[in-house]
Amino acid sequence: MRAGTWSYAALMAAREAARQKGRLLMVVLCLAVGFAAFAATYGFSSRVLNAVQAESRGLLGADASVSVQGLMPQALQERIQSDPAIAGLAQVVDFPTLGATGEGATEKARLLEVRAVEGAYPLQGRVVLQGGSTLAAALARGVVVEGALAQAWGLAVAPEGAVEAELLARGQALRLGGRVVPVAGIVEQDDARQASAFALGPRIYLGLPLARDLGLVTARARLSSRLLLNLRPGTEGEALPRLKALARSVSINPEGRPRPSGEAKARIQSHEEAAANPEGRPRPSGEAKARIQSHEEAAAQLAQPLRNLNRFIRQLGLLTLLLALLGSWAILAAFLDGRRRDAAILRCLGAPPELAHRSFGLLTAGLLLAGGALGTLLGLLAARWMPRALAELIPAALRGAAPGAPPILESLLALALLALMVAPALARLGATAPLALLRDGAEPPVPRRVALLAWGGAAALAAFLVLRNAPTLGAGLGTLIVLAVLLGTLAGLLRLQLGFFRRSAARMPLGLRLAFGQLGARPGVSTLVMSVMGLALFLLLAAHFVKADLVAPILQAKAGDGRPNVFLLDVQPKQVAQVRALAKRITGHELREAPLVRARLRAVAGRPVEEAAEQPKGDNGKEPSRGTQFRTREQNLTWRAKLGPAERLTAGRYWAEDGQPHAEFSLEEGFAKEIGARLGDELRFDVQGQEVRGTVTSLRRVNWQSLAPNFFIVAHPSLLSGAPALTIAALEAPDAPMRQALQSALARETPNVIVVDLAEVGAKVGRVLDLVNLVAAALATLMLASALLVLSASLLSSRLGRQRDVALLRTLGAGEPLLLRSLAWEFSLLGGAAALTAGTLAWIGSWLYARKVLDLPSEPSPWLALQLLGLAALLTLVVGFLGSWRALRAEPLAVLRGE
Amino acid sequence: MIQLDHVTKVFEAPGGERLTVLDAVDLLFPTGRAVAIQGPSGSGKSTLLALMAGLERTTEGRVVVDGQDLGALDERGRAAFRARRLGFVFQAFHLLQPFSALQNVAIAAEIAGVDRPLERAREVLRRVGLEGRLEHVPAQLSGGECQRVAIARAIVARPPILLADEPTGSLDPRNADGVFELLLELQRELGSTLVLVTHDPHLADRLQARVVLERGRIASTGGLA
Ligand SMILES: Nc1ncnc2c1ncn2[C@@H]1O[C@H](COP(=O)(O)OP(=O)(O)O)[C@@H](O)[C@H]1O
Ligand SMILES: [Mg+2]
Repeated sequence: MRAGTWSYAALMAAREAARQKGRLLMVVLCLAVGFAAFAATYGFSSRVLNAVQAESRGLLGADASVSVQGLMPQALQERIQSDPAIAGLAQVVDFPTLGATGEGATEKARLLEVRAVEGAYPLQGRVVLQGGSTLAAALARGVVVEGALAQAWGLAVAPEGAVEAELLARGQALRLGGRVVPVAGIVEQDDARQASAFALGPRIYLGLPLARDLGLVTARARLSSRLLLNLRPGTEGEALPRLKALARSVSINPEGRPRPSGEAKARIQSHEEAAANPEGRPRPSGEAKARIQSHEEAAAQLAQPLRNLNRFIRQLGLLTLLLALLGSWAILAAFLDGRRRDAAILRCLGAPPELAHRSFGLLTAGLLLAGGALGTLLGLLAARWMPRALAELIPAALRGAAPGAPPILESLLALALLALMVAPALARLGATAPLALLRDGAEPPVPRRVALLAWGGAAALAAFLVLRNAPTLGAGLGTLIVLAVLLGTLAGLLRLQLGFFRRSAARMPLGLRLAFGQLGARPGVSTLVMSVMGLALFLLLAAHFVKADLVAPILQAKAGDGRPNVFLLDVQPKQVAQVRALAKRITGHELREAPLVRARLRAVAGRPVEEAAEQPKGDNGKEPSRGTQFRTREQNLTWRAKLGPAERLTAGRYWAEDGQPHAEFSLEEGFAKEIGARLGDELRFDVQGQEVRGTVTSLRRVNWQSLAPNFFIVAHPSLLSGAPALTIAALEAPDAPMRQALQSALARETPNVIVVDLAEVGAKVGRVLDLVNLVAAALATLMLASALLVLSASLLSSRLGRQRDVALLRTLGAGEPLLLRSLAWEFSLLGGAAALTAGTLAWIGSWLYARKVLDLPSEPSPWLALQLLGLAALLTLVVGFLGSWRALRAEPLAVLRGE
Repeated sequence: MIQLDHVTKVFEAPGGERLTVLDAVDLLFPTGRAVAIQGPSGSGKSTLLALMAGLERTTEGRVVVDGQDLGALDERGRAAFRARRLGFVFQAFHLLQPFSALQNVAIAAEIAGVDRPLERAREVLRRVGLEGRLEHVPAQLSGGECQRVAIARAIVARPPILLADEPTGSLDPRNADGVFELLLELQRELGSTLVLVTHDPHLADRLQARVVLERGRIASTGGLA
């Protein structure tokens, strides 16, 4: 084999690999950790998104759906039914209601999500019942309940022909709308069921006729109706636009003009009539806007929140990968620099100049590919497991979906990035005159052009990767800026330390002096280790702080602190007195009530509000801006004579209690900003067909954490006194049995009232956040692990130098205690500086985030942070000592001889 | 035959000042002769060897080996010249740290294109008395043993020219003697030209010729004609 050939270079690379197993394995491991984190997060997220697309029909339960808030207009239904493209049709009405089971002491009640269906539901996807009965057959007999509810309440299917009176006590029936409905089925699998974390409560199915019979299907705000459609094959292209036009045509106010006030009262009457009139009729004003959605559009809508979560997770995965790349670079560069001497010897022996480049180039490429492939493989395996761990966040239909494609492009780019970073070290291998190198091991400089190209290219690639995977351009740039600031601060800090050392070296104890000597001898590696540690700690801490700020207020909403923890929604005017009395009897506390009027914003300061976007935008379409979303959604108004206890004015004056009518509004300051309204602007609302105008005369800041009923828009009482209002109420129900009793009583007497138990919501939100945090913490831990890997790698690669130094010190008579002390100083300085910087930055960052973005009075607890930082510093110390162990233990003479 | 024609070597220090290390040196080493180079430290001995090995280029003048002008060869040509025609022994041994004695010698043989490099490496290691140390890595060998490996490596391709830069400078007197004797024996066996830098006048005395350098110039020569 000729020395000038590639195959000889490969042979040399193989020999090198065989001889340097330990160190090179470290490179592969370090890379594998990074690639695994990246591939896992990426694979997971693309898998979920792919699945959303693939399973979109099952998720929607049809090819397309027509949805309206409230009841489905009969006219629309008839016109759609007669469309020639329709191959199948089902109607679905979703609404929450209180349900109960058991009797007496065993009675349980809670809010349930009812899906009332009619026709061949589901048109797509599957609803599988335990025991093999079909949904249609079961619904003919009674109610079908979700498996989780059946388990929680100990429900069982009622036997045919059982005596109704005994069913409730045996857990074989539910009390719904004041009547007893037998349990006819328990759901085993439901493709259309969205992730339970986003649901108000467990789902139950009812037949639509039965639901009407029970008086549950009334024209209420929290009720939505859908027609599910299957289209004849091939007609989708022309049928969808036609159906969309149809949907738009019924969205017009049937009266076509604002109605005089005073008719508003009559509206409520007619709502109640509507309950008796099961056919339903269009709701007045713009609220009856029908929306047609294809399964792809529905999938895109569902994908949006998932995509944001995914992007966040992906970003963390990418950062872990970048850290691992840095770590691998540290090991590889040190390794290659260590092989410079041998490359020079080979040149002296007559090896062709390209041999070193080739063999070490091949070796590097092999290591990169091995690490990348191993990591990607592990990551994809982990991605298979992640959906199960995150089950609560992911709709059932997606959990078994096929995995997404591995991030080939991203991974190759990452490898290219590392190759660029290693290039200068490779270039140095053969760059110098061999004898000069052998003479004193002089550091040959990297040609400027090579260095500039390599590092510039690497930085650009890294920036590209971060930006490409960021949720938004802003977030990507933010990440880059945080990275730059962090790295800059850490590098600057190390420089300061070393500068301080130079000035006061003479007065320092010998151990500290030796430590600084070690740090200063390898400033690049020291900065790198500090940066990587700092970055990992920063992310860990930031995640912790944000969690503490976000979740703590919700979880702390425990009873007994004077804050309400149960909310009652949709209390109708004639029910108010009854609910008030019932609440007082059971909890001993007064209701805190507020009237609620639904309306649409028509104009701000004379500028008409744009039409609400017809469709939620898909993958590549733009989301409507926040301002548009705030202006066009249905608004909740209240009226109030005085400022509430949890509010304070920030601008303008609140209206006087003079018994006079005032056409005035008070806005929450953030909301005012979103809709673009200022003091003195006139607002025009459409309140169920009636126009209401008024001037913004004050801005308020609301302490939302008080949990009292509060509103963005408060009107003077005279403005809305005639409008159809429901009541929302909050109250304190300190203990769980009390809340249970309250729900049972409400389920029996006013089943249309919606009860939100904050303890339950808090627990649910907490669980979701716990999951997100688990992922973030797992990634941050991986980062910390890769930081420690970098540290031990850098120790390993500088071992020969360190060994020589230790050996020399020993021969000069330095004792064990001195050497240990100097090591302790070195790693304390390293870990301590990284931890301190990262901690400070994370604290400032999350404080700003909480104050400015979340508007919470933030007090990130320093305690856990300190513990974490202490732990990190300790870990650095331990890894540092372990990594230096061999250097300490080595026989001085053997070391010096091996030189 | 190695011929140096008016060889001048100037190093440029980082500060920009020029350091003339060899100043118009004319020398002729006849084939098969063993020549000692002497001179105080810093007088240019190692630089002279590097020029003869094609590891450095002359600033002025020519180095001609057996009719071949090294300055006319490119990087690759000079590497091939070193691989086939030259053996180099350093004061600091310069063995490949991760590799065993046998591998160190075998790799040199491979680079020189020797047939059956592994067997040849075993053979020369036996010849230098290290048959019991084949799988030791440099850190496990004594200084004398390391230098024997380096000598085996230098002669593995039977080069017509042997260059040795203070080969005994790092060794104790007993080891130094042994290594020196070995080098001389091998030079005689192979009939190579040997150019050996040494500080030791007793060793220099035992070679056929000597050159004394002083501040980059030839102070005296003897036995070269
Ligand atoms: N690459 C180089 N760059 C600059 N100066 C050098 C270089 N190599 C050698 N020198 C200088 O040339 C002079 C002669 O060096 P050298 O040939 O090694 O001397 P000797 O081997 O006789 O002790 C010394 O002063 C040395 O500093
Ligand atoms: Mg010298």
